[in-house]
Amino acid sequence: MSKLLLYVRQALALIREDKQFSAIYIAGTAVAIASAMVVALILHIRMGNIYPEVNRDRTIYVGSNFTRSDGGYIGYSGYSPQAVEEMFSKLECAEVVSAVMNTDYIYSFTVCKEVGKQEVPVSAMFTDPNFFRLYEFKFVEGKPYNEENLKNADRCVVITEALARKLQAESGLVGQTIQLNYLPYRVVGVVKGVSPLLKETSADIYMPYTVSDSRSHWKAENVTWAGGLEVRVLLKKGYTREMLMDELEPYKAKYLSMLKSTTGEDWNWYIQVRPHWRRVLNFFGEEVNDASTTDLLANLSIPALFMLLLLLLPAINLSGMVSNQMEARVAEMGIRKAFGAKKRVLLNEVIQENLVLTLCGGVVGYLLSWLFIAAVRNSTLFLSMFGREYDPVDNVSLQLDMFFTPTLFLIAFACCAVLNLMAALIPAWTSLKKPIVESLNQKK
Amino acid sequence: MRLILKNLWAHRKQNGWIFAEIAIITVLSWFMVDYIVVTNYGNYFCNPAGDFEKDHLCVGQFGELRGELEQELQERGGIPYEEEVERYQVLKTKLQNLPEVQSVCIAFEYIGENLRLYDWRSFAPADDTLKITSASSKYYYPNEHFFETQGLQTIEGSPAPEVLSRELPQDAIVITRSLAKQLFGTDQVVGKRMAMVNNMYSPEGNYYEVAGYHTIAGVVEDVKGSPYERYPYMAFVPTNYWASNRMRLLLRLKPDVDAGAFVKKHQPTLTHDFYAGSYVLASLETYNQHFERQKERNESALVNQLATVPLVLFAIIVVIGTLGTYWLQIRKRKEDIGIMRAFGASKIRIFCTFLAEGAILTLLATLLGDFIWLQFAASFDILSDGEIRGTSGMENDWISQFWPHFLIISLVIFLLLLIIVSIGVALPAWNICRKKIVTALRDE
Repeated sequence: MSKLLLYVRQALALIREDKQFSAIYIAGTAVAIASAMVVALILHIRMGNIYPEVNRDRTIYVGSNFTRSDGGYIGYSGYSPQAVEEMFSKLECAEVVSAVMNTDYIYSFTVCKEVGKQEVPVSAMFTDPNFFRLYEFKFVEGKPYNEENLKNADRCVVITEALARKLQAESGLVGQTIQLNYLPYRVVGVVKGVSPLLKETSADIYMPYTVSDSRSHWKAENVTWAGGLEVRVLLKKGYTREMLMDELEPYKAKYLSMLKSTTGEDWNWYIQVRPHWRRVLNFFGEEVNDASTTDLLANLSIPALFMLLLLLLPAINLSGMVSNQMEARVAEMGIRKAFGAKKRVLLNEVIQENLVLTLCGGVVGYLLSWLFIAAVRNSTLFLSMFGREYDPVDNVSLQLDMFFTPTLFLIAFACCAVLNLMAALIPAWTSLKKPIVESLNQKK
Repeated sequence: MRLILKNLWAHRKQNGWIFAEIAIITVLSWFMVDYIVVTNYGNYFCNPAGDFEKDHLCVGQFGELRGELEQELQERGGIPYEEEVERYQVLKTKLQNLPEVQSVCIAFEYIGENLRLYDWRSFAPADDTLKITSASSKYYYPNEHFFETQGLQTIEGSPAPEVLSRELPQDAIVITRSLAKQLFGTDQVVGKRMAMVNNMYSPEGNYYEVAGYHTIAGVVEDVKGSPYERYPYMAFVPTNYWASNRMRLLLRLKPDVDAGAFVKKHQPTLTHDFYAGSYVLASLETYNQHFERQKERNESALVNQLATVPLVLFAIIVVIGTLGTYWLQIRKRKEDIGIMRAFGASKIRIFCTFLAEGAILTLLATLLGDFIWLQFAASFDILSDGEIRGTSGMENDWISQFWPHFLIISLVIFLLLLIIVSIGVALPAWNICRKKIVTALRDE
């Protein structure tokens, strides 16, 4: 500990002695750490547990693809309400099962308090009541719609606080009626808004999938389990994706044999079971049902390599600067070596002193990465990284849990350590390799 | 020159780092700079002279107001086709009767409508179906004043826009002057036959198949399907397919009307003033507003931005690198500079010497980087073609030829890096040049 303090004191003395060098070194480190941390932050926002998707690590997205024996598709990538009822609701490993309507085909929506009043363009999601259990929405007012509402196709909606404000009703909107695409809907709840960067849950308005749009009842003519609903499963703690797949197998076999007897032809049914990370990270485009840990690590290696590259270029800069600095300290090193200091000890010392500077730059860089994300959050390019390039939103809100997690802090520290090693190791070692006599002669 | 080279060699250890960094950045920048230059060349330098007038164009979207009529609609099982057509025509007539409006057309597609999804097909002369050129193609409704409203001008020898907008034979097609010249070697092609060709895929390899033959009914002045296209190859195909979800309104205002003011005047009361049964004019905006938004969301614009981000980062890294290296290096050379000044060298001369050192370093490093890149470029087809889709592959501009393309992009990269390195060198160099001779010598 005392040794560490000594290194810190030595580093601070060096900073005071050469302020210009230190400022440029810290700036160089800050740029490197900021660029690497922007990648890490984007990855965290896409994959981490963030409100209301606080269970992303246990959430599984289930899709479907029925094909005839001749290879022909039926054109439905999801399930019918019947499949949700007869198969998914009976799963042992599922804590919550929610069905959400495939929104790829949804038209645009506008909301106003009364027809003729100012219309607000909004994004909408068609869900079941379980959606509010799977994702932990905070209700500011009211409560979610219930199974009864879903069954009766009641025109009721849950809206966000931000939309309530736009409709000039800070509170007390629950129970009132708003016009959605010129049709009256009753507001049953107001939730704390979700950042548009969370594509799976972000919307201005949520309503039962049975309302208004007949697509929710889509059913292939013969294949009664195929439809327009995407099923999202929250696994019970201790259960895995593979267990879910095993549990689906008997249902699959039973349904396919029933399908054969009713239609008279053979069918293939591919059940797509994707954990959340697989939905947002697929660099190799391989079979989506392969979502093993090895696969996850392979996919993470791409952004990791990119981060390393972002650290490498500034590291070359910093190496140049450390090399210059070591030149100036050659005589000092020569004297210490003459008095018996070992090369390894001196190298260790230089690297640790340098680490203090790197950490200072790391803190500045970490702050810069937050500022950068805050500054570019509304740009089309940034939104495109979250699958939002074609439905831009006016103002992207950011949440604290997007920036503060122990994992991010550890990544930032690891980046500093790697950068420090890359920058200081070679120049320090080259300088320390010089014979004592040559070092002492360097500066007469 | 000898002095500059001597100085570079004397500080080779420090300069080596910055040299390596510039060389690596040259190689990495090639991907981005090549794409950006080629794409923006198409955007800014390939604008056809006969482009249509956009300042007096507006676009509108139809909407459906289903409030009170929904019960009736459900009972009737939707609106019959004839009634639907009639309602659209009523809306169109209402707009046509406005004093500010010159012409209105119901458009299936129009230029700049959806740059993300714009369609392109392959065409060839009917008697030589191997001479293929890809072109952006748009469908339009006959008898809808499409060509006059969009503002397309016909060339000499071709029927007037009003004639082309009327009912034409079923196999008719209208093409741009450049497409005509590319296919037939001349623009006087009215009455000639051309083939629409499909590129077919098979395990044995790709092959072309004629999808249908068309008779050229007219030739219009050059326009591009997308701003990032290099060549104005376009074809307009009449259709009678009535797709209510695809229909848009194009409005051409009289020359003395301000489109912005027109939209502002009508927008607040659109659904009240322009309706026919349950159909309303749901939105109205100027063509320029609409086009700019489309451009912003265009994939090319996104990739452009995406490519610019690392370039900016590289620029910052190089500036900090050269700034740091030269700051430390120049400090060591204070004595030399003092002596040079004492012997009559002017501040500007010394400053220019440093800049020249930076320039030579950049030149050598970019040459090395370009040489490394050339190894890849010669073996693989990696020179960028930008966002081009409409092409015959037989164009002979600089982008299509290897050496001019390689040399121009190399020069652009060198100039960019030269500017960046000069910024990094200039600051410390100017700082030292400003010092008095005595101070410079005393400090040492």
